[in-house]
Amino acid sequence: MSMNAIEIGDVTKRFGSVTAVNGLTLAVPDGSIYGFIGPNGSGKTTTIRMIMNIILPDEGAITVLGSASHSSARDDVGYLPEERGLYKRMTVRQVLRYYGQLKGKPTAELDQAIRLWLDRLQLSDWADKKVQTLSKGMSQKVQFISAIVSKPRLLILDEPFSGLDPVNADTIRDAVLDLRRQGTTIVFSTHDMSAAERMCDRIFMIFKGNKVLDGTLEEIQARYGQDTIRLRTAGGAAVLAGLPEIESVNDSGNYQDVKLKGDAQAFLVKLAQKTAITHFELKQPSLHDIFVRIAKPTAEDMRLPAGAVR
Amino acid sequence: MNRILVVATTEFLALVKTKAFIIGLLMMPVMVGASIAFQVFAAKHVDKDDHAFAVIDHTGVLFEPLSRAAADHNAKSGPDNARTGPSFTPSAIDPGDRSADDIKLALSERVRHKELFAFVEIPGTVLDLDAPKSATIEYYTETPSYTALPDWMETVLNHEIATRRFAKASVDQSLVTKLTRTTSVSTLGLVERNTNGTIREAKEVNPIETFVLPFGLMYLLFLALMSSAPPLLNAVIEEKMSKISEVLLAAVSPFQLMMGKLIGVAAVATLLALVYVGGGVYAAFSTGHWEFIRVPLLGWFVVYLLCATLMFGSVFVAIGAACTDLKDAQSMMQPAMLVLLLPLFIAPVILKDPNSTIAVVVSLVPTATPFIMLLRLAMTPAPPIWQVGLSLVLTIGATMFLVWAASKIFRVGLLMQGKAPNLREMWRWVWA
Repeated sequence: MSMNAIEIGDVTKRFGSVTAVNGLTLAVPDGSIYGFIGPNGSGKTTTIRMIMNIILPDEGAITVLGSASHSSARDDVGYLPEERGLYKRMTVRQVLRYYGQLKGKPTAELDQAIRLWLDRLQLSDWADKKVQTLSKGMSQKVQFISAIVSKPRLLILDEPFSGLDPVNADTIRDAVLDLRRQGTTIVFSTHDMSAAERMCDRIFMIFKGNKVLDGTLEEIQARYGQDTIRLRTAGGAAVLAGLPEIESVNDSGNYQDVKLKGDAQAFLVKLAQKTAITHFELKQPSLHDIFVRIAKPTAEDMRLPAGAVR
Repeated sequence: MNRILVVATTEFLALVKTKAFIIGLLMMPVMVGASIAFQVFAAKHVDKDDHAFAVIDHTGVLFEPLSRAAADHNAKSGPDNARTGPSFTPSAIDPGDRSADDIKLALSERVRHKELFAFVEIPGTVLDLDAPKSATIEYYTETPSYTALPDWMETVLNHEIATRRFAKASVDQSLVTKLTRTTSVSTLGLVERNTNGTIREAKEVNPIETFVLPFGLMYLLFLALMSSAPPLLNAVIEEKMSKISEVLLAAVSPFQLMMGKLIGVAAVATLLALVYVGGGVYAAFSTGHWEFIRVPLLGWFVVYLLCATLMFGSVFVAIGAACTDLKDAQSMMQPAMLVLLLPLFIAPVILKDPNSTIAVVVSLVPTATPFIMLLRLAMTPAPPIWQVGLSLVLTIGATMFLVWAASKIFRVGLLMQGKAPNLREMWRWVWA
């Protein structure tokens, strides 16, 4: 039986009257890449901070790398927080060495790893420059190195790609995949759904503090079924107006993505009588679609509170 | 423990390697020396002006000796181009048939026009032995804060008036001088018996040992504290603002982080104090003043320095963690600074009477103990041992409580953004 790198058991965290995380149970298998998705303020960072033992859960228990007392496992966990922080007046090498030493790694071992990673991420020339002289992308890369320089068994990345240009994002992604090949368990939170689709073995979505998705991409897509079709017709979007079988239409101009209430075949027959169909495709909902479907404010949410003045 | 040392070393180096620290370290003795030198210089040299004043002498006999005394005084001040003090130039005013008020009005006008610095009216009755009450000499000036001239004049005229009164009463003044010679009181320490049984004579009390050494030592403690602990506040706010805290907290516990910082700061304060104490010890050695070096006192100094840096350091850490910007922090710093400075204001009272009730009470207040008990330990008589013991227990207890409370505030505050909490909220965090 394979072990779990992280086990979260029925964890609840409240801040005052707000429940940030509500009865969350989750297991991250050893050696996997786990994607955490969810809208802003849904509880991702709170969950990650609890895993990191930076804040403590009000209820429930969290086990990290087989240890319930996180402080003993902490040295084997690398962490890239959502909000990046480096000492501006230290040099790149000093910062990396300091963060590595705090993880209890010997200096000689650290120095070697620092050289290696700076070289790999094209930062060798900046090793002895002060952090305040770096560009934003460079300091993001330095921050990334600070999370992995101690060779952690578990790596937690909060929004690792945010603010990176495509080249740097690719560099970081390759490094993450490399680490995973070497056996590192990786948890990362992201708003980039296509990155989550491409990289993750499993995906977890949290919404308003509750777990709403957890599984492989295939499992999740299967759950959301094949109720979406992509259409291209002579009549365009206009011909779809007022059809009772349609729940929603996402019009992209040349084609329309249509979510149906009922059976797709019956709808095809009916539509063929109204217009010429040039393209008809049963479509798996993308992670993006699923995310939006869950997190899009419902009509109920959008209604203004009673007495509000528009 | 290892992690605490990593944090402490980094904090220590971050503080010590700044230019501000090194410059401060070197400049401090230079500035103290310069300010003392300036005061000595200023006291001697600032007043080299010519002060012309008019004298309305109703006795008719006092202007003459006053004028002579002024000439003597001016000669002592040196020649005009190399003068070391002020020169006084009296001029006699002949009242003629003008009224007293007219004369004074005219002279006042001349003072206003800077022709004269002042004028003085000596009443005729000053020499009168039978006058019902002592007459006063009236000195008129625009610059009442300048006292050198009236002081000098008072001495000269009193001497002259006394001489004339003695002569008038047919008393030999030299006899009076002998009879009224004052005797001074010389302050000594206590007599001790040496180990070989002989009696060791008491030493005359040295003002440096009695006042300068205790106050200097206390001031040094304050200085070492002030140049090491407040930067801690800025460092914590900076870490919090630039989100470094979260990275650090992923690696070490809040308590480890805070202790590391406090130890780093204590090391900086100790280094600073060692440099100056070392300089003082060297100075005492090289001038042969062995008696100033008291090893137990230096031991106490280190103990109290550590208590003070840990105590106030943890307060600053807690404030830094609770606030989100320097402006918030500054308003919270005010009460802390007041508590810190209070012993310094009370110190002069303690210096006068180190065993008074107020001295005992204040030296038992933990935030004041490091300063005031150190002051008392440096003075004689030494405070009773129970007071020293009790103050040490209270201070260590208070230090431990403050470090513990600060670690609670630190833990909550470090990840908190937005409005700074008030003192009541912080108190709740401590007990949460």
